[in-house]
Formats: sequence, C-alpha cells, structure tokens
Amino acid sequence: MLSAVLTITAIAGICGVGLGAAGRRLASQQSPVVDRIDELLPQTQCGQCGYPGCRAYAEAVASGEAPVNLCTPGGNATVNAIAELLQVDPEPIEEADSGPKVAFIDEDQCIGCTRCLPACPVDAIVGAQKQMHTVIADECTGCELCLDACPMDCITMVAVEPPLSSRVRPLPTPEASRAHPEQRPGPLRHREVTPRRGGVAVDDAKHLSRDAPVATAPLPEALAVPLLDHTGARLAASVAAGDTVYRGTPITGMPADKPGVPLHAPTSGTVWGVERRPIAHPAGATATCLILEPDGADTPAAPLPIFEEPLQADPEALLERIRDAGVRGMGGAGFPTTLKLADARRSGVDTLVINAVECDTYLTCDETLLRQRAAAIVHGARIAARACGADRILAAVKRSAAEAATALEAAVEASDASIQVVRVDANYPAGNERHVVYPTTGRTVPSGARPTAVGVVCQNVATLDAIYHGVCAGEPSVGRLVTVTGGGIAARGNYWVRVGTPVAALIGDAGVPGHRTLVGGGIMGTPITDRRIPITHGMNGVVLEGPEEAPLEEQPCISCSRCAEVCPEGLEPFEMARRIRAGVGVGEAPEHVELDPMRCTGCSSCELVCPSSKPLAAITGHARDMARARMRERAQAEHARQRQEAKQAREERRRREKAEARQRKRAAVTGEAGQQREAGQQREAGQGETTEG
Amino acid sequence: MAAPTTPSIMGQVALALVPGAGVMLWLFGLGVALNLAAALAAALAAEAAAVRLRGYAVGPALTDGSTLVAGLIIGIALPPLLPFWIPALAGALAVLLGKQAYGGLGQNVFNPAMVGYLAVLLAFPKALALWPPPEAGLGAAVPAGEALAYFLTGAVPPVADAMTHATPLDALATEGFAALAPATDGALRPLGAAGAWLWLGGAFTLGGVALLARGLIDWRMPLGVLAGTAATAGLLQLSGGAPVAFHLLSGATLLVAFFIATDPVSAPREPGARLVYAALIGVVAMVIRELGGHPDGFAFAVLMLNATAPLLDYIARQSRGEATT
Repeated sequence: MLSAVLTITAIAGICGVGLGAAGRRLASQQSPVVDRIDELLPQTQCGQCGYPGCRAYAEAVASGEAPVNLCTPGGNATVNAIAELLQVDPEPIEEADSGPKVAFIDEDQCIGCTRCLPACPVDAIVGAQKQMHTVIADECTGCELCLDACPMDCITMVAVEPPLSSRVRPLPTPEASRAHPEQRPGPLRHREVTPRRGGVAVDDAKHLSRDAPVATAPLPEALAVPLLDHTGARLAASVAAGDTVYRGTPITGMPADKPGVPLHAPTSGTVWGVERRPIAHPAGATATCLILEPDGADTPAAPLPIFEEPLQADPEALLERIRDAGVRGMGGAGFPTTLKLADARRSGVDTLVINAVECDTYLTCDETLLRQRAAAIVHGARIAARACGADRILAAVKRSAAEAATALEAAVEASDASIQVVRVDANYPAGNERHVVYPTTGRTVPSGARPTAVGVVCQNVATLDAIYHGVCAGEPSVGRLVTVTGGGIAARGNYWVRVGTPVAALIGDAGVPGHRTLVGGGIMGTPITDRRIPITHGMNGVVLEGPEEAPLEEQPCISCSRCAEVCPEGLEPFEMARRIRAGVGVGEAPEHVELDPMRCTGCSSCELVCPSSKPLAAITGHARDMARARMRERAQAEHARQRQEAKQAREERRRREKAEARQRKRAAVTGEAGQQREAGQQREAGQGETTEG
Repeated sequence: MAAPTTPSIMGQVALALVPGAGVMLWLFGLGVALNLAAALAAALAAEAAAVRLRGYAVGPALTDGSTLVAGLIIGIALPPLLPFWIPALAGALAVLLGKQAYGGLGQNVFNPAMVGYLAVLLAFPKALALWPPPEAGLGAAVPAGEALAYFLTGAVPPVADAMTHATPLDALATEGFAALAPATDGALRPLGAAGAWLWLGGAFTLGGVALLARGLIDWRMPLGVLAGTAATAGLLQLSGGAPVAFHLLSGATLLVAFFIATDPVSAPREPGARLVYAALIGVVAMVIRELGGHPDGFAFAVLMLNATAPLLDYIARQSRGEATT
C-alpha cells in the first residue's frame, strides 16, 4: 500500500516537473501576445474601438480589459482570428458587408478649415487654410474619423472597387457542388487518364473540333472590352461615350510611367460607355468594360507604319511596336508580350521556343492556326527572336498534331529561316512553358524559375501571329481563334472572334441544362454561368460539358497519393487540400506554411487523377487567393501603421518644439525679470548704501 | 486506362484478395466462407448504421468498397472455425472503432481490419488460438455440417482433437523452432513451413503482384515489410531463431505486406516515410514473434506503426526542409 502511494506520487511528481519545464520552454518561444494581437488588427488606427490606435487596443485585449469584438474595420475575420489566438469564444459583430470605402471631400462645399487634417490618423488628406482639401484615396484606410471633424458635412464615404487581385474564389464544398453543379470548378471527366510521374497521359478529346470547319463569328450587337491590365488593375478609357472609333483605334491611354499595353477597338462603331460586366474569373468577378456598338462596316483605322525590313529593325523599335499593337500572350495568360520579350532580352536569352504543344485537352485553336497561317507564325517568330535577341528558334509541336507539324515544316522550308521542329510526346501539362523547355532544348528549368533562367523564351503560336500582323501589317491585335467544343454542343469548330464578343454570340443557348460551360480548355477551363462574359486575348476555348463529361460527385480522400505522384511541382495536393479545408495556414505568408500553396501552378493534374473527384485545384486556388489577398492587406496595414507612426512622431516633435519654444520664451521672460529684479535690488542696495551712507 | 474511382480501386483490391480467400476455403473448408459472410455482413450493417447516425448518405458509403475490403481481410485473418459472433464482432468493431469513430473513410488513424481483428484476438484468445489442420480439398479438414453447427451455436466443436492442432507459429512460440522441424514434410524441410501454408502465401503474392502491376499499391510497402522481416529474422536466427524463409512464408507476413501495410489511409504519405514505416512493421512483428508471447505479431506491429505514421511524415518533410512548425 505504502509503496503504491509512493510510486504514484513519484510518477506524478516527475510528470509535473516535466510539464512545468515544457511549459516554460514553450512559453518563451511565443512572441508576446500583444504583438500577435497587434499583427491581426487592420492598422486603420481609427479608434472606433475606443482606444487610441490599434496598438493600444491590442494591449487592452491582451490584459483582458477589452472584449475581442471592438474592431469594426477588421470585421468578423479579425474577431475570429483574435478569438482563435486567445482561445476564447468569438462574439461576432454585425458586419455591414459593403466592401472597402474611402473618404471623399466634396470640394465645392469645402471651406478649407483644415479641421479634418489632424483628424486623419494616416495623413491621407492634403490641403491648407482656405484651400480645398482632397483625400489621397490610396492612403485612406476608411476609418471615418474625418466625418465628425468636418463642420460642413462635405465628407462622404464612397465605395471603391476592390482590385481583381483581392478577389478570393470560394472554398469548394461537396454541398455547393451538389447544389450548383454548373458552377463546380475543375476539369471535365476524361475517358482515359493514366498517372505518370510528374504528369498525366490523358485522352485529349481534340478530335471533337480538329477537323470541324473554321469560320468567322458574326459581329455581335455590342462588344464589351474589359478595361483591365495584366495585373488586374483598371485601365482608364481614352474614348468617351458617343465617340466614333475604327478597328484598331486605341481605347486606353498609355501612362508613360506604367508598363502596360493599350487596348484597341475591336471593330468600327460608336462607344456606348462603360459598364461593370461579369468576366471569366474563378472568383466570379466583374470588371469595368468599355461597351462598343459596332456599325457593321468594320472600317479599319489608319494602320501603324509598316516595318519593311523587320529582321533588320532595331529591337527596341520592334518591342515598342509590339506594345503599340496591343499584343498579349494568347496561350492563356494574357501577359503583355512586349514585357516578356523585353525581360528575355535583359536576361540575355539565346533561344526562342515556338510553343504549339497546346496540352490542355479539347483545344485545337493553336494547331488550326498553325495549319492556316504557318508562314505568318514563322515570320512572327523571327521578328520576336530579333526583338529579344535570341539567335536560335525551335518549335515544339505535339506528336498527335501531325498535320500542324507538317504545315510548320513546310513553312520553314519555304522561308530561309533555320527552325527545328520538335515533336513532343505530350503528357499533360507538357505545354506549360516551364515544361516545354526540356524536351525541346534539353535544358531543365529550375523549380519556381521561368524559362529565361536557362536562356529560353517561349511564345505561343497565336501570339507570334499577332506579332507578325502588328509589325508587318500595322494592325493591332483585336481578335483571335477560339475553339468551341465539348459534348454539350453540336456546332463544334474554331471561330475567328473579336475581343469583347460575348460568349453568348458564339454558342447561343446551346448546352445541356445542369452542365457546365467553361472558358479555356477541358482541364484548366473556368466555369462561367453568365454568357455575357466577353472573349479576351487569352481565352482559347469555350467548352460545353456533356452529361458524360461531368465530374463525379466528391468522395472522401483515401490518401492514395496519385495526386502527389503526378504533380509537376512535386507538391502533395491531398495533404494540402486537407489542411486548407481545416483552415490550417490559410492566408498566412508562405514562409509560415508547411506545404505552400503558392507553389501550385493550378494545372489541375492532381484533380484529373483523383479517384475521389476532389476539387483539389480549386481548394489550393482558394488558399492561393487568400494568401495573396492577405499579403496585400498586411502590406497595406503595415503602410498605414508606418504613416500613423510618422504622424505621431511628427506631432510629438511639434509638441516638444512648442514646449521648448515656450520654455525658452519663459526663460527669456523670467531672465529679463530676474535682471530687472537684480537691477532693482542693486538700486535698492545702492539706495540703502546711500541711506546708510 | 479509364480514370480511377474509389470503388474501382477498392474493387480491384477485393478481387486481388480472392485467390487468398479461395486457398483458405480449399484448405480449411466451409468455416472460412462463414467467417467471411459474418464479418462482411456485420461490417456493412455497422457502416450503414454509423453513416446514417452521422447524417451522411448511406449509399455512397456502402458502395465505396472500403468496407468490403476490410471485411474480406478480417475473414481471411481469423481462424476458420469460430462461432458467428466472433467474426461479426470483429467486422462491426473494425468499422465502428476503426473507421467511423474517426469520421469515416479516409480519416482513420489505424487500419480498420486490424483494429477489428485485434479486438477479438484479445477478447477471445482461446477461440482464436484454435486452427484445424490444413487439408487440401474443400471440407476435408472439417466436415461442412459440423462447421456450420459450431458456427451457429458455438457449442463444443465435435472435432475437438483436430482443433488442438497448432499452427507452425504456435509451435514456434511455445516450443521453439526445433520442435517444429520434424513435423514438416521432407520436401519443405529447408523452408521450415508446412506445405499448406505455402499455398496460401503464394495466393497472397499473386494478388499482391497483380495490384503492383496495376499501380494500385506503392511498391515501397511490400518491399519494406519483406525487407524488415527478413533482416530482423536473419539477425534473430543468429541467436537461435527460425530461418528467414520460414518467417517470410508463414502466418500473416505476405497478407500484411501486400494488403494491410499498403492501406494508404493509415500509412504515411511521404515516399521515404513509407519505406521506413513498412520496414519497421516487419521489425516489430519479428521481435514479437521471436521474443514476445504472441504467436504472430503483425497485427500489433501494424497498429503501432499506424500510430507513428504522422511522426514519420513530419520527419520526412522536415528532412526535405518543408516543415516549419
């Protein structure tokens, strides 16, 4: 009995000491809780919580004085994050879900009283006595502190358009996919799928549209051109409602300081104005579009000056022309070609690869273009090579597209160029520019790097065609070849389509109810539900899903790790998806996340081979969007914090200077008084002496 | 090949178990079929009830094939003559304790079939220690009628003499390898295993190789288990243990190598971790067989290594420089 008591006491003692030691060790690894709460706060410094600034509120929460739900600008996301950190129950706040807002001063009513200037915690208002005041919208945190300071009530909060990069695609759930099968993200179901190491051998379904007729889509009643640059930032229109434009008239200005390329009117007609329209985007975003009503004549604007000898031209002049012609990457990304070539030139590439692999399934626009315009593409490739300084040109064509490869070889033969055509055994995603480099050149692009790292630049065939027309015919890039295909439409084929044409003008109301319409290919396509969505430069296909091609319903993951085997980036999609769905590390900076979703390129190979039909690519995509949006928010919060600290420091300095000045003055005054007093005393003393004397 | 689905993968695994089940049936008679039926029926019923109580759709859960595979493995692992409640309890506990308690398919930490098997092994040690002598020809070992009667009532088996037969592993555990040697027939003496058990091992290998060829299981698992088993048995043989070949061919070694260690849900995810995991299953099982009290240690070894799978993954990721916390 005694020994048992002693033994258990001894064990308890050892455990206690162990726990205590562990507790102390682990506690010292955590940063102070105040800092961690402060990091979660949005740094608007608005004081709506009743504390002077975010830091003060963080201190109050940490000491238990303040509840966790006082931060209005941070919303429920911040409340939940703090509650999670402190392991308390979140008390949700009522959230006005109206998006970001900034202050706006009605300058007609502003009397220039300057009272709002000190009220702003981040110095976002500029103005002076009797001068109109203005809010610097980029700096405004939307804290509303200036509203009360204004005696004229001339400050209002106006909603601002959140940038496209802050849009987050929703986390796909089985319930949502069941309720809205037409919005489910992810590839079509392919008949033949075989996992390979770092890729997938997939039945490419290109026969559906390969030999279908090539036609020109008729001009629709109205075109909508999204006024967006490649970063998703808004471009300003340089034409106004009622203006008459011709095919090729620039419709956006080119700010000299910003790298970007202009957009051009896709046909002649009248500008109707601008309007927000849905665009093809995984988060279902809208964008401001320029609406153009075609006049049907399709009158071209005066062409840009034609290069007679482009292969002898100055590379800088070629790059400038490629920019002025509005050439964008037509393989899907829509990245300005002039920037890509200029970057390639700077990094000193020696090889240009004509990328005609077109590895996404269902698409045949690139091989059709190759069959029709091989000569122009060869010429375009030589111009691009001249512009970026590459002295060797290689072409990668998928082995299954034999006719296209033959056409390209014939065109090379006919020109005096020396271009080697390489037939690639294409497992998906062989057409990704990082993966096309190895079979073509034998060079390996390091993980996370672009082909320029090994002296290679890749160009899609449609882009090269646009370069040729921009340089040799002076015509801006305003249209493209689009594949219309899938089991849900009978009128398959490739169509010449003007940028801005709504998808509806191409496919009408074809399709199977309850099944999806995707823009892009059969694997990476984005599902769309609104057929007003306009065609853009990078949009290579419209796929209408048939009943046979619909993805199966999601099942539990059995960790078979096929997805990890096929992932070209060497990731573990199933483990990432599990963590993301559990909310682990979502939205955190990459260095804090084990299995970083930012390394995912979104190729969806994992989803193709998943026996449980999990929307793996969309789950990782959600985490990527969250990380990007949160990083942006954090950068903004950090910026606001710095501005507030600068302001506080300035005010502190000013107060000190004032105090010093006052002290000096006082010192001066008292000094004078002292002297006077002294003088008086001397006088008195003198008098005394005199009286004494 | 057509895009794989979970039911098709599980179906192929079940198909690969058929040769093993067939050989069992041929060697031990009707009792094996009764065990399989009881384990499967109980497992499916438990799955349906649990999924329903948890508020999910019963149809997909029953047709995903995972319960079928677990039931088959339990039926094969149990001794061929048992009263019905033992295989039924094993099947139900496999699903309830081994799988649904963790949140269903894909969430379980431990291999469900091994959980069910071990639960009844520890609860009914006496019943599970009794194997009839293997005899080729369906029903030759135990007459079908007697097997059925015992299955239904659990009364004292009429073939009590036959039931006391010890498997080679029992003999090894109680009397050491020397006692075993004279019992084996001449041709197989060098292997040290009774001939009938060889047939079973061959059937499991056939199914396993088919799964490997179809790319349905990771080659690291069988290789690791066999390598771990062979290396440990080799070391222990130096101090008087049974020969390596005996350990490789007897008991659950091949069943575990091809069908149990390969369960991706309860195994680590990292390739390197998988190799270590599988090898350690072999090591632990050999230590239990040779040095421990239980005749076979594979079920314990599998559960122990299941528990370490997340740690092995963590170490593997850390050594690749990916883990941060």
